[in-house]
Amino acid sequence: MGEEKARLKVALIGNPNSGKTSLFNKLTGLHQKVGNFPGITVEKKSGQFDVGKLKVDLVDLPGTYSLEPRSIDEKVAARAISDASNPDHPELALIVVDASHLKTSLYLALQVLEKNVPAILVLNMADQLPRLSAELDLEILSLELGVSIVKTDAREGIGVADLKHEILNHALEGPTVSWSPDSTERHVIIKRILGKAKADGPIAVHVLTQKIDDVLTHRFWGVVFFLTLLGLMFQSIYSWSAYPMELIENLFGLGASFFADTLPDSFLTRLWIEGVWAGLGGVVIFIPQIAFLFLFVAILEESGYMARVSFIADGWLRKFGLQGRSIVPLIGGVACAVPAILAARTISNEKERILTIMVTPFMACAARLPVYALLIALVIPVGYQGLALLFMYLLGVVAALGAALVLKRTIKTTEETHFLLELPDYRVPKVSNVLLEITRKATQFVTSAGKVIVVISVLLWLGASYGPTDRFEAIEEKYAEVEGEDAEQLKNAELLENSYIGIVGKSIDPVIQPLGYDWKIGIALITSFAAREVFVGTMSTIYSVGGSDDEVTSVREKMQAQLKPGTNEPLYDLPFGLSLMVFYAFAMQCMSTLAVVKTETGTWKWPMIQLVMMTGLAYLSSLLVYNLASFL
Amino acid sequence: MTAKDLILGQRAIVSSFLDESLAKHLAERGVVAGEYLCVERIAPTGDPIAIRVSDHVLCIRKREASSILVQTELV
Repeated sequence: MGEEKARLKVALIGNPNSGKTSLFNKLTGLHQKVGNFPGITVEKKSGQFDVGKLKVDLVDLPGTYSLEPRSIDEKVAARAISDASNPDHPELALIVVDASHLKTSLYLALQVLEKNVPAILVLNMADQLPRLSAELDLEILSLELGVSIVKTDAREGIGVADLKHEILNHALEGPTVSWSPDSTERHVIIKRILGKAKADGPIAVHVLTQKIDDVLTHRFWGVVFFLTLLGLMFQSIYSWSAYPMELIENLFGLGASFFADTLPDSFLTRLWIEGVWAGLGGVVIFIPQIAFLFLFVAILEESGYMARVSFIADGWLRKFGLQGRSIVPLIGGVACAVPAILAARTISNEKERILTIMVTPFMACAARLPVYALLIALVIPVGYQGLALLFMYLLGVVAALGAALVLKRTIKTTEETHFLLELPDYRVPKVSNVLLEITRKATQFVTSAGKVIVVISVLLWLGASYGPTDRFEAIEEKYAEVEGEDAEQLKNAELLENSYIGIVGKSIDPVIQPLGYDWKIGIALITSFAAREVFVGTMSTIYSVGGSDDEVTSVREKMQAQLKPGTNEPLYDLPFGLSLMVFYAFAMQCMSTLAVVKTETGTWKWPMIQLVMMTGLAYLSSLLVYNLASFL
Repeated sequence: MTAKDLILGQRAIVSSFLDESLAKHLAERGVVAGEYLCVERIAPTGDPIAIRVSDHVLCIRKREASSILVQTELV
């Protein structure tokens, strides 16, 4: 039994890019957790570490330039520092100051000191000091500001031990400041202090950064590099994650057969295996894509290139109410909207972030591919199939940008939309920082959106497996005497048809008939809500195709053989195929995306708007396409 | 003239701001009257621009640049 240690609440505050998060990672190591600040979707990183007899609870406040808040991130930081009753109000503030941008970072430091919170000034990236002002007199700086100063190089872990020692011996009183809290006066003070501390010399320019930027922001080579990188990113999320995803699928499959073999056959067992366990599998399956996307995002952020992405792409995307950083979620959306929407957090402007989240699901995600593959093979003549697929991807891009154009007029915001973005000096990303960021994002997804996905998955399973008792009993009776695999498949098809979802699918028949669909498609549209690719599986159940390896081919053959009643024409013809492809391109049929949009925007309002808007658009477009194609 | 009118590589001194809320934003980033600024880069689309000011490089859109009044140095 250890002695109960005294606890101390400490907060890190500083500009974005000041190395705050590196320092946080170095101080807390793996003893950290992420969540959101209460009521809002600003990421909250908190963690713990021990120094001597002290247990420190550390929170990493969002990076900000000011305590006079405008953006949501800034408000969180400002409230925590300014409001003593705030649950995150620190007993000790670690003001992280970037030594290579001393002048700019001191502005926020002065504001924090004005709040009279006990503080330590952390002069980070101290390795940059010789280049900037070899003579910087730390004693004078400390004296003038009224706080103790610790030099660190957080990325390398240098000075972290000194900082811990200083935390143990920190001043209990906040500093008394000699200046009045006013913008002009702060600048005068900074100038005077830097002059006294011999840090007001000319600032040496980071030459390597300039040389790199001559290429990477070049009007031709910059764009080439950028597009190549995007292509590589997309390709790797798409193809590299296929292996771990297959592995996860197999492991969950093995788990399911294990449970089926060991547990007694009962409602609870089926609920566990086909509802909960399958739902968990549906959550975990996203982790590889999230990991790969954030591998790239973290490297882009850490290296400083993300700011250049914004700089390059902003001009194009602004016309649509988006901004430079929206490009990453949009491209990520071609693999999967779920990680892509998480990546929208790097957009600091709230309106642009919401807009990006709203339109990203239009991009043709990987789950649509099996559906397109089936329908294209079904109705598009050989020779035009590749072209048709390309067209579907383009359709996604056009829909996303078009929707942004419309929505940008409707989303109101009180936040001012000044675009002020720092181009930080390039740095080699730290592996540990990148890995921790990936871990944080994956954990956050599993614990927030994951819960919703499991619940909906269970509901869908209940709906698809159960129906009115009398109907189900009748089917059981009908097949009780029949043996064989074919009979089993026919029985499953009939059970699905009579399940609650089947009944709903049939009841929406009048609604979807104008689009050229029958009730079978209706059922598949509803089950697709678990994930779009479920369409293929549902169609194979309905047409009693066994779960063979080449599911797409066998379903296609079955569907191709269907004829319109009383004619020799195929039931699933070109107008039908086109109409359904357009429906899948536009409709919001993904519970995981809705769940992640809910957790990322903090309200059900946006996912509901998305559901209505996208599905409405899908319905109207499919109606139009079906009628045009039938007419021609 | 305003920062928007500067050509690539041109240096000027900030004199005042036309937009008060933007001025406050900029002050937090070290852009205040009397500071030198220099147009360091222009995005491939012509907008935004990157200016070197105080001790760092800031990207601003031309709309923002047009509310920063500057004086070019006499040659």
